[in-house]
Amino acid sequence: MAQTSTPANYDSFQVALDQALAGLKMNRADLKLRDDYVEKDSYRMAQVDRFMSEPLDLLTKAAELLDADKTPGLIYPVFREYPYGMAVKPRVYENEPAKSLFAEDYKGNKIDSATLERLAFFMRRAIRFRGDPIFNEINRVRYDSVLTGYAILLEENAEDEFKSVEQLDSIAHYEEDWTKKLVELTRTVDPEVAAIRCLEFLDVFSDSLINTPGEYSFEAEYVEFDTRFGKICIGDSTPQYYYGNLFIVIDYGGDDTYNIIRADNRNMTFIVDYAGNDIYNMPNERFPAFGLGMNAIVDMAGDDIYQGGSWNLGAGFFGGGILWDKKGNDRYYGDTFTMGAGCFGYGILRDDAGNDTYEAALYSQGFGFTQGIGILQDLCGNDRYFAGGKYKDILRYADHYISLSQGFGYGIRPYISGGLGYLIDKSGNDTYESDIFGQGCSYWWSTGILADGEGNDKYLSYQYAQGCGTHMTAGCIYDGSGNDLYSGKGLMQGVGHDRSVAICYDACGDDNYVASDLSQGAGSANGIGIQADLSGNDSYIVKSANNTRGFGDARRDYGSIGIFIDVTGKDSYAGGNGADSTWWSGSNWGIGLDK
Amino acid sequence: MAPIPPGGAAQTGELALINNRIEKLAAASIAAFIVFGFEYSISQTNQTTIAEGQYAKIVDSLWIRAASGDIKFKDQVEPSKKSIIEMGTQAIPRMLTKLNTRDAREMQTAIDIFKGIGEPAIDPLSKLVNDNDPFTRRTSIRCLEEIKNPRAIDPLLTVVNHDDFRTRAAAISALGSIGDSRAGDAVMKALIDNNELVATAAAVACGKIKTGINIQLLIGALMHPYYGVRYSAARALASIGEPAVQPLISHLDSFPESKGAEFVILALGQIGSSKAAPVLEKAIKSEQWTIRAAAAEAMGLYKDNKFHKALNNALKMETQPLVKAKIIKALTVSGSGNGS
Repeated sequence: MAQTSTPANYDSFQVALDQALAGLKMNRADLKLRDDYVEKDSYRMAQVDRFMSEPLDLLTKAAELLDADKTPGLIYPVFREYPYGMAVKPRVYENEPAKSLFAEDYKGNKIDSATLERLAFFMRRAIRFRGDPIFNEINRVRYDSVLTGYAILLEENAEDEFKSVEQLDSIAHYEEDWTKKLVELTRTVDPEVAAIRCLEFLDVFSDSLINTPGEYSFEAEYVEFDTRFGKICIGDSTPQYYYGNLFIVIDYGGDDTYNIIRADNRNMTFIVDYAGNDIYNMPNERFPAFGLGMNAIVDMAGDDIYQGGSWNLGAGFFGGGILWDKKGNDRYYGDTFTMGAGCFGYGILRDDAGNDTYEAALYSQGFGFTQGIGILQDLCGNDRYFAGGKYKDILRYADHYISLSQGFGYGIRPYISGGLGYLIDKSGNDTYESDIFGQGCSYWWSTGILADGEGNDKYLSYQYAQGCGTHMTAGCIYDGSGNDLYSGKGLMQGVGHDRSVAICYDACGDDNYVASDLSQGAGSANGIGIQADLSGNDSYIVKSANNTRGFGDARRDYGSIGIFIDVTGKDSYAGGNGADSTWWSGSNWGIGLDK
Repeated sequence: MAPIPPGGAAQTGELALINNRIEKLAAASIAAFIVFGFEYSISQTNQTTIAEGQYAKIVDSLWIRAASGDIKFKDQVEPSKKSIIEMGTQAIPRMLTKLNTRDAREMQTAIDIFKGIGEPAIDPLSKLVNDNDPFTRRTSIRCLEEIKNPRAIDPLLTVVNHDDFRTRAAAISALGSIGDSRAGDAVMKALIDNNELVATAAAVACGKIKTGINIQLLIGALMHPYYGVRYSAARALASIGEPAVQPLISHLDSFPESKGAEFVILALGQIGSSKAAPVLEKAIKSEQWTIRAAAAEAMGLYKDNKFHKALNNALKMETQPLVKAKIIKALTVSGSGNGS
């Protein structure tokens, strides 16, 4: 499974980086951060520590993510170093006939053998998954507490902006108490178990039967029957309305509507829809209906609409979530923890084709929370990503919204390390819009990567974005090619703050970068920030000359590292340090190179 | 199923419970504010009529505001801090209970307040530098660092060998900030600590203590594998000043292009001694561009224009872009020319 992907123009970057470090009286060994500035908690993911000690691995990881679709098994490389990596190993199922799996629930004979095998694919995994001890009554209360507790930590309230200082303080302390209790609870239960079991469902990406839409012989009108896990429905090529506690749905065509109602948690829902312009309405509950459970939707064709609310659309919360849309111009709508989000599990949203729209409020579009991986992977099309607009950033601004999305890793400071959030867009002219925290960014011992392969892209955000790390963490934005625009206010375009590392890497194209302050290769509070543009005729605009374009400030009586690199091209600069074909060093620990 | 709440007791109706709990907590805080509120506390803190226990409630009420990070309450932060500081010794017992916080903003707020209270807080803070709770331990040390009183030296010396490197680094940093030569031995020992953050703190501290610091030890630190130590050691040598000049020159004479030579040059530039002029003029002709860059930077730090000729000559020959930039900047800053 070993695979090494090389970032585009990586050799010239490394040469320039070594020159920049030499200019700072430094070398590669200085480009490292520790994994123990605070006492390590038990949730730390090995990859996060690796990115801290080997920051350039962020770039190889980004390149690897962009190549993930070339590998049989598609997304497996992402899990190669996941703490549960060993569980990816396929386990043999007993060779029980598919029909016998449903013998108690279905006595008819309308279902053809291929459809039965499709049903069996999910049923076999579901039976094994639900047979795990985490589902017995002894463990139930503890697992419920952990699940609910983590959901509360991620829950935001749009009314917070109207609360008094006492109310906000008491909420903060209440959440802190919750966090401490959760730390204790997760010492006595193994919250990773559900995620490990759910890894077996990743086979959906490679299963030949699931992925051969032309070879079916189901010609019955409609079949529906109940099982202990919920309702099984099989639809023909006419439009259907699926409603209720859906367990497995196989639909062979027609413009369908899904209204999925799932109570409590530990649910499993699997849908394979082979054709049609479909509408999916996911469970809209305060707490995750698929928490400690699993859901997978595979939609083969059509222009589809997904209305996810929170905890859905490729969201794994103490479990797994897969949403795979293979064709069509699709629209995805959600609120919190959605569109490729993972917490003690994995969430994958993959869209193979079409011009797609992704709209969410918070913790979305490649979001990794504690012990989780969240991946949004879009292979082609001109796509639009929006995150924010609902929950105000009451800490910093009266008129901006928190996003924490679009390749974002998040942990609870100072108690719980975060996860891995990856947004991968392989091609197309794409637009990314976030507000506060987004676009290859992370917070507190976690990692966020936004990797875009090709196309003329626009990256818009206000603060903490476009390759930014805040508080002992790692972030990276990687753009392979195209004439791109990066725009925002500050703490963006390669900024590491408070012993964090962040890289903004654009391999080629004529690009434009706009920022106000503390941006474009800046280190703050002993962090490391790198901006690198490896080719093309680029333009750079900043407002502040004091803390941009190769800037490192002094904190704790010593320096941060800020490196700005532009290799080749005729570049223009407005505001701040820098000019075409020059080197400069405006601060003790900051340097800029335009070669 | 109901979750197990923070208190541990079994309860039902989790959502109602959570909401009720938040509302109750909020209501309790509001009540406290009404009784022991902002205006009241400011006007009453110096009166002896307030019972001992009530000071805790006043501190708590003010503390919420002092440590608030929300933008809409920012105007209340500094007045609240000031009110607690004005309470002086009466605020100390309650404030000590805040030191176990893990919240960075609360830590800084506590440090600001104890800095304001000053000398009366030294003894109670000193008792916490060996506390079992790492956050209490380190934040109390940081408070003592800000108070900057030599009475804290002895208690701080008890933790310079602590198992926790963060505690060692905090203690060394505090000793440096106090700046008393009694801490010199501990600080110099810490310079060779196997943890780079402790060594960095030690290098910084050496520059603040100055008296009795072993200059050769600091010169050795210019070759440390961690840049934080190297830069801090150079600055420490610059801070020591004239006594460091000859050892630095000798080192550069002996090892002109060795690892760390750039930092020797940087330190000499920061000191600005005319004795260093020959070695700097030699360095700007080095074959290593990093040495030339350091020399240009060092020359630019001199207040006079003694390097006018050397810099201009170097500029004519120079092709390396960073060195050129530094030469031009040096010529401009030192008034030796326009650098054109």
